Amino acid sequence: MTVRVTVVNTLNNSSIRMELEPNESVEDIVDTAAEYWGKDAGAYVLRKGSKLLNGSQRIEEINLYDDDVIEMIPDPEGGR
Amino acid sequence: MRPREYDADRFDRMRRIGWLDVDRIQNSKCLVVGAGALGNEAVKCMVLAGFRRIAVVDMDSVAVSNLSRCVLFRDEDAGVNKAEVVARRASELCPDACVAPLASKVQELKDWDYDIVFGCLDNISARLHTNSHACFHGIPYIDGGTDGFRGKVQVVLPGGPCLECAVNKSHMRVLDSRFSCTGGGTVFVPKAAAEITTASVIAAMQVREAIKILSGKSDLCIRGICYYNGESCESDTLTLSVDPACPNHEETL
Repeated sequence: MTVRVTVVNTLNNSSIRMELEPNESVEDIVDTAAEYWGKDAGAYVLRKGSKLLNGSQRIEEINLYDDDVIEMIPDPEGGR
Repeated sequence: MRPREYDADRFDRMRRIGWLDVDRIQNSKCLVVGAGALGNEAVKCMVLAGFRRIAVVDMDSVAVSNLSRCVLFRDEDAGVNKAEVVARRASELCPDACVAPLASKVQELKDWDYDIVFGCLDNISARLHTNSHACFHGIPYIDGGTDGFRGKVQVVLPGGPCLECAVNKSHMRVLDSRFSCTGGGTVFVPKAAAEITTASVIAAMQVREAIKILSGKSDLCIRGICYYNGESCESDTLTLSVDPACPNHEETL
C-alpha cells in the first residue's frame, strides 16, 4: 500500500512530498531526495523520530504511515 | 591523608567521581586512528585524563593549514609525520604517558590488541576499515566525524550496531568519487570545512565515552549516533539497529 510522507532537508528546512511503495527502500528515499536537492557530494542519513533508518530497510519494514515526516541529515565525515 | 595532601595526586579531582576507574584507564591500551584535528584533541584529553598506553597511527605530515585546529602542532613541525609530532607533544604534557607513533596507513596495521579504538579520520574508507577490524576483534570502537560546525559521535560496542549498519548508497557514492578521479587506487580527498571548536567538542565526547566503557559504565554510553549541531548548540542521539545485511554481523545474527 502506498504511503505519502514528507522528507525534510534539515540543512535548509525545505521539504518534499514523496509517495512510497512497500517494496522500495530507505536508499531509494536518500537517492531521490539527494537528487531533488542537487546533493551530489556528501553522505546523508535519514531519521524518523529518534531512529536512524538502515539503508537496506524496505518501506514495509519501518512502519511508515501517511503524513509521517522523515528528516535527511548530513553525515559528517571530516576530522583532519 | 596528611594536611594539604589531597591535591598531591594528579588525578585527585577525577577520583572524586565515584564510579570513574582511574586505574583501569591508566592500564588500558588504546589506538587512535588519525592524528589530525580530532586526533590531536582526543590524545590531549586522553593523556590529561590518565590514559597511559596509546598508539597513534597516521601516514600524513603536518601542513600549515593544520595549525588552526591542532593543539599539539607547531610551525616548525611542517613536513613531519603527524603521529610522531602528536606522540612527542603528548609526552611533554604527561611524561609518564607512553604514546607510540605509527607512521603508516591504518590499512597496514597488523596489531589489533587494544582495549578501545578511536576513529579520528577524515574519510569513509578508512572508517569502514577500522570499524570492521574493531568489530572482528571485539574491540569497542568510538568514531568521531566533523563538517564545519556539525559533528557526530558513534559508539560501537561488540555485537551492537556498527558504522557499516548506518551506511547507505550516498556513502558509497562518496567512496566511488574518491577512487575515480585519479585512478590507480589513489584517494582524492576534498578539503572539508573544519574548525577547532567542533573538533574539541567531538573529540572530548569520544574520550568521555571511552572513560565510561573502561569504568564499567557502558550503559551510560551513547546508544547509536549522537549528532551535534554547533550552530544551534543542539545535539540529538539517534538509535540504530543492526543491519541484517551488514557483513560485520553475519555470525551474530
